[in-house]
Amino acid sequence: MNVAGKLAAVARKLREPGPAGPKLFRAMRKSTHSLGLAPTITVERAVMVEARQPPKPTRALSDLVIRRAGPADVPAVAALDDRAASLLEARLSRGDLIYLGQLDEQVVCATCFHRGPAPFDEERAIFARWALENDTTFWSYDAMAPAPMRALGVVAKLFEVALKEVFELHGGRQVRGFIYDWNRLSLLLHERMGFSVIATMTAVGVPGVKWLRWESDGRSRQWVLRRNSDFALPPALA
Amino acid sequence: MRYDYFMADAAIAARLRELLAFYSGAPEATLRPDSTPQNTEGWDSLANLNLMAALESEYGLTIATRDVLKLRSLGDIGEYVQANIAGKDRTG
Repeated sequence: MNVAGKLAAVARKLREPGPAGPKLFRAMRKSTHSLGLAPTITVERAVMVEARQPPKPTRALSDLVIRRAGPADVPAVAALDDRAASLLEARLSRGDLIYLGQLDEQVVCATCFHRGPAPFDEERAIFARWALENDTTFWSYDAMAPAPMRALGVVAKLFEVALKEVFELHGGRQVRGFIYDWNRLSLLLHERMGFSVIATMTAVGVPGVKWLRWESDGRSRQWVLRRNSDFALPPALA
Repeated sequence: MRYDYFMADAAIAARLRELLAFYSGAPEATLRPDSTPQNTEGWDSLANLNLMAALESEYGLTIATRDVLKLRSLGDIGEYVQANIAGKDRTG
């Protein structure tokens, strides 16, 4: 089946009632990436998660220094996974909290939080802007660490300490995040840290247009929007 | 030779497997000295953090993060625990 045929199959699947087939979407996503079509053509599926309290602290890795990052830390944070420094500078300048984990003088991991009510809109083209009700709602995103360090505990420790600060020092009442469904390890980590899944989102994007399907509490809604629409999720589903 | 500790100290090896199975959700019988986060379902960042905390608590160790970053397999962790328990015994 060619790409156009696969996209048509996804569109047909989206029209069916009930949960869309995860297997088909994973295959589609893989195809768009392997054929070099993403991000012009995108097929993505993800879950929104939410925590209302920080995870229980763990004593291990107590010598890992965890602190807020400032402009001087941008080169070291960007080097974690070859990120553009300008992106991190933009995040800091809009007031996002960036936390980093540091061992001796070396930055080994980092993660970011965006405070509401300004929507988080870095995923606007593929999904939507993420609406945050007020300044006690935070958007958690982008855990960064070099591949060999990802499963060794530093990311979990950083996330644990940073979440505690977001709740206890920055007035967070809920922290939300969005996890691509192919990233099962991240979903498991979030669930173990007390996050629960509150919605599932599917997005199919072609040049100029995107199709969104939102599923939450057994209900679903769909939209066809411009790729860079100002539309914000989650919607009022009542 | 690398994994002699599994024969030399069966108690540590058994406890390690038990703890890792508990925190990762991986079946204990599948855990071997060459098990790593990459080849073991559920052995993620949080499982490793909890495993290190449990080892510190049970064996009275303080495991430096630099050391954690070098422990890439269950065999490595067993060797580390055994060596550091022995070190404590000699100095304590």
